[in-house]
Amino acid sequence: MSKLTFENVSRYYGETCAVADLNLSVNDGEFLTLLGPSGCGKTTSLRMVSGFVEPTSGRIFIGDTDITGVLPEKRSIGLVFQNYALFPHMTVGENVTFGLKMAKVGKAEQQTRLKEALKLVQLEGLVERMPRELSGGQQQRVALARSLILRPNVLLLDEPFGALDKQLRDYMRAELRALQIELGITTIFVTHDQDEAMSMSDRICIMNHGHVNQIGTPEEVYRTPANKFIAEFMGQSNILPASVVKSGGKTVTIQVAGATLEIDAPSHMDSKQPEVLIRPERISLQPPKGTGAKAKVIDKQYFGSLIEYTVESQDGSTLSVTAATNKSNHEPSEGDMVMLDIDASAVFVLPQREAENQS
Amino acid sequence: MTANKRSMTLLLPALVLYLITFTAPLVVLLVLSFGRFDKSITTLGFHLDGYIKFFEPTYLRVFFDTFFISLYITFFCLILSFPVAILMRRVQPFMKNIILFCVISPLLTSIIVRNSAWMLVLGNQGIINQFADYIGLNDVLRDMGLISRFAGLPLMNNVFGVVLGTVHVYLPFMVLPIYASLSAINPSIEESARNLGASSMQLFRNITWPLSLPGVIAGCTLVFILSMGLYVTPVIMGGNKVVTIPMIITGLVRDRYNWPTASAFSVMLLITILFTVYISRLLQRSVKV
Repeated sequence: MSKLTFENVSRYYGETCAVADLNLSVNDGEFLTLLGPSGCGKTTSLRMVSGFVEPTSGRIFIGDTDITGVLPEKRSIGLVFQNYALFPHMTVGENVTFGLKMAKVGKAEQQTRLKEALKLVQLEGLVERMPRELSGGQQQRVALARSLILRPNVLLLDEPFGALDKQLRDYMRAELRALQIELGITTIFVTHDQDEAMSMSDRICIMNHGHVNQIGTPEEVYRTPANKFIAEFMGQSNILPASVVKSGGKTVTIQVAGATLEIDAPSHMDSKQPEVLIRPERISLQPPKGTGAKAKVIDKQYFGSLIEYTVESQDGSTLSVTAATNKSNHEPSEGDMVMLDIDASAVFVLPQREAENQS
Repeated sequence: MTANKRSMTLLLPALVLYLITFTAPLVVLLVLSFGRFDKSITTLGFHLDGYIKFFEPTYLRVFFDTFFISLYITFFCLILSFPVAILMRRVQPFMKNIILFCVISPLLTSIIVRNSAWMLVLGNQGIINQFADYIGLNDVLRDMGLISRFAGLPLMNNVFGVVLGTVHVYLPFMVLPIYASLSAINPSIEESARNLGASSMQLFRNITWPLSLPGVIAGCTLVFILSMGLYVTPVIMGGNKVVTIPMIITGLVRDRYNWPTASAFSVMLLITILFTVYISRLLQRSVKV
């Protein structure tokens, strides 16, 4: 019922294209993240849903209702701003009931729903406070309660954690996601932070230069990125030139960073010299014995639970490798020679053609 | 001496000037206001003659006339300024600067020139009356007995003329504080209100207006205080029909050399202004922004 659909939606500012031909469906109750660097069109897309920006062409539906051209105040879409945008001259209670007051809901019902909403975001007892007397996290909850009290069809979150410190952000992230699941509300979340996107979303829609690059579950976009941009944007990556030694059948043998690996034949292998993605955590460093690919540790950074190594392989390419700090792992020092143990199942051949489109 | 304290010496020239031109005359004024004026001779002392005179019906009426004219001026400045300030916030910077220049332009003109120009527009032979004569409006009004046979539309030599001429020049003092208040409102606050279902009217009443109140109060205070000291404009635009307290004070000094009474009246004006500032402070504090 509250499925949200973009149908061929474009937005131009003069000659500049902010969003190009966006086709996207957010399912009922789904948590979808629009992810991308600043200027990628994610905020414009969000503002088109909320009605503050009209598409140059295309239509937006909630369920079967076309909401394109409907005034922002008539859309029944919840929106939480990055700076929360609380009304500074109103108490928490007045802020939260603002929407009900505008809709001329009766006083008694306002109070009942206010109680419900504040309970939902765990702010009972702060009804009389002014926004400036609240912490960042509390302000955020007020903003959330203020939207949710109207029982919107769709909830839009515009970088809602941007102004919080890291610990609070992690906490609010989990809490918001739990709340979203509990209410089953269709949600679009806009962020440029891939950690946030990965940890919260059902699906992630990655945008760049106004175009959707890939839509998929966090695991899909991390493991099988549609192009080099996504591979680099989603977490740390090693993108290395490889050469195909032997192909045919179900597997291909490639050489990368001095190692020879037999991997499953990808569907999109269209070059003899493809680029491959290997995530740093899928390489492990072993003592330099045997015949494997050798490398030299040129940097080592300790992060407590993990160590980040930078190694230089014999063919001259630089790789980053992360290893959990546990007893059983070999822990070489800077300058040591090591053997690279690359998990062949984690080698992903980047789709060549799309990678070129992006550059 | 810390660097900060040493920097304070930079204030010295201004401080000296301030003492000589402001504080000293004020003290003199206070002392004189308690003097007595008898047979053209001023004697100092502690007499309340001047203050008692202020409460005579004639002068009290002039005081209230001044007070209400100032209220009218403040009110019309407010009504005219708010839309301008809203517009300035919405348009591009270039357009904003043009509007700003237009608003400030009266301040760049000599008050005599500005008032004379108004006479050319509003007078009996002014542009507006000539036009009204031309289209026959004045004849109709004369036939109906609404205006006298030799006069045109009463656009000046009355309170209307004084208020108009003053609103014109005090507009920037209202527009600028309101504009400052409006610019301080984060646009996302207003978008939030729209998102929560507020219509344009509801948005203005519940968000924009209350959040602009600090600027409104500041602007009203400024314009009101300035208006209480009106002299030149009522002299030129009021045509002896409008009398304000500053005109009385000037008359007392210039024509009768009655410094004690003039001083007492000035002190009363000063008290009114200080009271206005006090009220304004109270209002500012009650605004929850």
